[in-house]
Amino acid sequence: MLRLLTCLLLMLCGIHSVAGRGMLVGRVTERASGEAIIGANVMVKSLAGAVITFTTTDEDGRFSLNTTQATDSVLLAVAHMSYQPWSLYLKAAEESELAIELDEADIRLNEVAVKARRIQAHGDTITYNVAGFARQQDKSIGDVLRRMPGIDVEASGKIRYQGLDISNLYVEGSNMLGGKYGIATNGINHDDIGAVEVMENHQPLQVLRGITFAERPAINLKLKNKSKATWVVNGNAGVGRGEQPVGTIWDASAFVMTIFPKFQTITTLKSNNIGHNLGVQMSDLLTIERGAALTPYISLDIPRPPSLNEARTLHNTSNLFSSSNLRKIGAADVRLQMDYYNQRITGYDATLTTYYLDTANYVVDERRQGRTEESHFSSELNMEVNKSTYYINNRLKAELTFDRVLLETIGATNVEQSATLPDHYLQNDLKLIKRFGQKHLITFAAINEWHNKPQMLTVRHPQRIQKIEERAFCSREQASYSFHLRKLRVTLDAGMEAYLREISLNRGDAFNTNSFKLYLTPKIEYKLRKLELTFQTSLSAARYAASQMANYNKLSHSPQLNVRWLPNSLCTFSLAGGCGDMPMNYHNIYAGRIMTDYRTFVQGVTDMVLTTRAGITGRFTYRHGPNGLFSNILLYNAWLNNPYQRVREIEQGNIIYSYAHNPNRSRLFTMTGDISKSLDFMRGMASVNASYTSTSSTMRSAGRDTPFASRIFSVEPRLTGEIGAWTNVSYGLAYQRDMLSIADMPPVVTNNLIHSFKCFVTPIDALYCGLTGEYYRNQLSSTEWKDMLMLDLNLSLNLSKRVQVQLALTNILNATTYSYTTYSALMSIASTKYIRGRELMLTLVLSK
Amino acid sequence: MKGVFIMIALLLQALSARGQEKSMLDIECGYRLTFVKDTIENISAEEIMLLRLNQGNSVFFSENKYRRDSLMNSDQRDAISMDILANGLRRYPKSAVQYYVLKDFTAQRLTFADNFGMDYMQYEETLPEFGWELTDRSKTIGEYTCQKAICTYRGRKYEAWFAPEIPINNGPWKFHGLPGLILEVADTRNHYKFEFMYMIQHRTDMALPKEYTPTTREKYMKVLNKYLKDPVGYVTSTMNIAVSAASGSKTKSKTQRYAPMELE
Repeated sequence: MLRLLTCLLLMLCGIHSVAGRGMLVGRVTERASGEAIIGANVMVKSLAGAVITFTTTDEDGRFSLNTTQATDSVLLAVAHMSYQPWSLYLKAAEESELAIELDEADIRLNEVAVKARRIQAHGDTITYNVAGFARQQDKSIGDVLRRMPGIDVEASGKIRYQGLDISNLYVEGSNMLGGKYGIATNGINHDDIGAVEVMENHQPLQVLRGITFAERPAINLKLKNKSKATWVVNGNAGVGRGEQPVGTIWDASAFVMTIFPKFQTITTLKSNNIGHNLGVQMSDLLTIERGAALTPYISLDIPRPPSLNEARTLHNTSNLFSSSNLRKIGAADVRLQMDYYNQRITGYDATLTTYYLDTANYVVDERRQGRTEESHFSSELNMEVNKSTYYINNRLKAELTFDRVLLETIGATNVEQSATLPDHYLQNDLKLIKRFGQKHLITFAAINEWHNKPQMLTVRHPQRIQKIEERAFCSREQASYSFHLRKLRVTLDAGMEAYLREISLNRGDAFNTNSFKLYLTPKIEYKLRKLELTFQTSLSAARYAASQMANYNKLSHSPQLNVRWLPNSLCTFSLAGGCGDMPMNYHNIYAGRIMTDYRTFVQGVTDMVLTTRAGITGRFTYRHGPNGLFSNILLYNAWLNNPYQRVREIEQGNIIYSYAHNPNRSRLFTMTGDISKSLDFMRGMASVNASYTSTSSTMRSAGRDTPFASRIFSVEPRLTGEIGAWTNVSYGLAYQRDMLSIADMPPVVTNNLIHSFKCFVTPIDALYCGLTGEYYRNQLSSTEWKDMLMLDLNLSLNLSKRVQVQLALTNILNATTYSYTTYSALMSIASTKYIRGRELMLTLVLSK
Repeated sequence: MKGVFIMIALLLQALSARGQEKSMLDIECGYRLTFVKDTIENISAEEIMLLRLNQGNSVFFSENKYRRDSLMNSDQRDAISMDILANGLRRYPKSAVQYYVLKDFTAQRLTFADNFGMDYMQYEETLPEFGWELTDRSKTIGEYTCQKAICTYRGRKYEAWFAPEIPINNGPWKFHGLPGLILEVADTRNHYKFEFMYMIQHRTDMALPKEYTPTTREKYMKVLNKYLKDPVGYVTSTMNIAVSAASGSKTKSKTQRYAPMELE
């Protein structure tokens, strides 16, 4: 007791004079002012750096520490957020009194993130950390998106999340590209993107947020800080040599992007002849249904293998220029988009076509050599004001296409066919929405479209010419009013639709089809806790008129019910059903017979009747963001009551299609399901996509009703991941089973299998090499199979942070032909195609 | 974003000229809390927790809870239609963690606020002593070297990893008192684990989002235990309403099968 008291006394004295044994005492002050520093950490650390004991300074900046625990020399360290760290070596158990002066410093803590989860979920937003998914061999953000569970990306750049097409792709919150967002998916370097945000149930129109039910997801690409408010430039240029066709090959592209708050632009220039179809990348991925959509009668497609990677088969020369500019002027976003591409595609194949008939099968053997030359220009001026109380949008769009096809057929008959298929389309789309208070909403929309599609087919030996002049104008005006009553929203849409179409064959008399429709659509939306109900029914009165035909008046109504249940933020169930009349199919209405290729003729219908349909869709989704588990199932069933039946006759080697008045039913059933799971331990993903489609219908062939049914089943499991620190691999299997049954004949079944694999090795950061390839196993007939292996080798070296050199050897085994069999309505086609041979290419990749 | 940092830097500089108040630290640290929601079925759940701190105070809460509270208590509440509100609330799923922990290092006080159903209560206590025992084990979390410390606090043993390089004597939940920010802490039964996710500059108010009724820790613990035994019964008794199934049969009250952090 006495010792303790002595100790305490000594300690108390020691604070001002001498420290006790093993006690470190001192005072910490600021050097500049001499003021005491409160709350500084005073630590005694071992030489290894571990804190042995610690304390904090009191109101007077004083501290005392017992160092008797230490056996060796120690480090006395003082730390405070506002001062520079201070330290001093001391002998263990040394007694001393220290006056420590600290220099002011602003210790700036780095903004850090630790072990950022690859996927995070915050309510309806799922955030994917790009760095967690990107691999060295990835070029665009699309390549990385393909590796994210729950997301699918098509070659065109089209993105689906949980089986649904996205409604918008935003870059840093701004809708830069509209429907041409494929430019971004295929163009933006993944290194510029920090995170990909998926906004489920996204409503792009602020004025409608919280008012109407939104179901479709949208994606926002969040730029890294280094890529914001600066010019992002990257490009690549490669040249090489190919063996089929023999000659020089090239692939070059330049991409410029800048995202400033008031001004944003994305401009791309691309050119290649290595099988990249640039026309696909330019397609409008958000196209709203066109009211005046004219489809070509003449079809001279160069058939392409359905399950072979397009880049292996396409003999092309493609050039593309695309520029999108967005300026914010006051509250408005003004976007001007200009795109141009031209593409020349050549193809050569040998085909054996079998038409299944009751009596005997009819077989055509031919070889074809073809070329298409396509130029396409499109331009869009879009003005949008997206506010929470009102919305204004006007979109003016022009599309000009010139397409020329040459096809030479040698075989049963020697024919040379050429077609010119120009296409001119103009559209103006205006939408105004105003919200009054929280309860009332008024919408006005007007869409005007003009479409001109002259087509000409020239057949030689013997010479025949088919000319078609077709043009259409469509105007749709709609006004709607809706109001809110607690959880109920009632909307009344009223509108009119006028449609004028003119068609003339071989400069003959013009055949007109005109229609005028008035409609009224009441709609009720009701929200009951986690249940969303929507019921609408469209009532319309339409008058259809055509040359030389009696007017056709039709009153119709098409009810539709949607139910969606969101029991929690993880899963959704939805069910939708409806029935009614399909829009009039004008395509088949004309007087006369059209030659669509040298041996196929289609007879027009001179009678107007509507097809009625009924459909039901069910969808279930489940996702658990943090676990990286995503799954969805979609079921769709539709029944069609067709007033006409397609009739096929064969006359002197020509195939004649016509339509006979014979009401019949057809049915379509589709089921798709996806499940994907992020495998964080190997930075990978496992996924399975499956689909099943069955269609049944009847066709009148050789004077008899022939029912036919087609069933297609496909399943695609995929696995990607890292093995060790160096290697990343992926393996995918695509299996497809087609079944065609015609009347009482035994069904024809074919199976197709593609194994695709990729293996990339990164021995050092600057270098990677990869072996990729596909193995195809395709059934030609019930006994015949075609096996094929395609291998590629890639080598890439980073010369600096901005410069990379790549060497690619594709189709190492120099496979030059590919065979397959496909079945369509009442026929089978066995085909051999000539594909791209072995190619060697050296590419320089630059990025800023 | 750049502009914000420049502003923060300027602000820090301006404040550093004012003696004692120098270098206002305004930081937000994100922690991922993984906890066993059902100790019988061993179902775990996750929650993003935020620790916001300045020189003398800190507040710790669930991000979702905070966003829901902010939405519910926003000034525009009357203007916002219930639909938007409901939509917003769906965006931030109902949080499993309702509490706020406020620490005041100047007054050495801690405020703990929690709610059960519509019953909002808070209690104050002195900043607890954890009696940390330092070990010499170390590991790296992010870019920081961390040292392990252990303690026993109100019925649970905890293992914590702190970063001496970050001289902030704070941490998630009630934890504090180590010579560096606590980046990871878990109880030895693995019922609760806080893991550091990120740290950013962030200015914030150190206030509760709404009014809580003051009480004592003892009373709070009593209510908590009553609630855990019979949540439905508790809520209905406090709100003075009757909950019954449509069929007329008695509603089955499900016992909450999670063990609170403080067992004593």
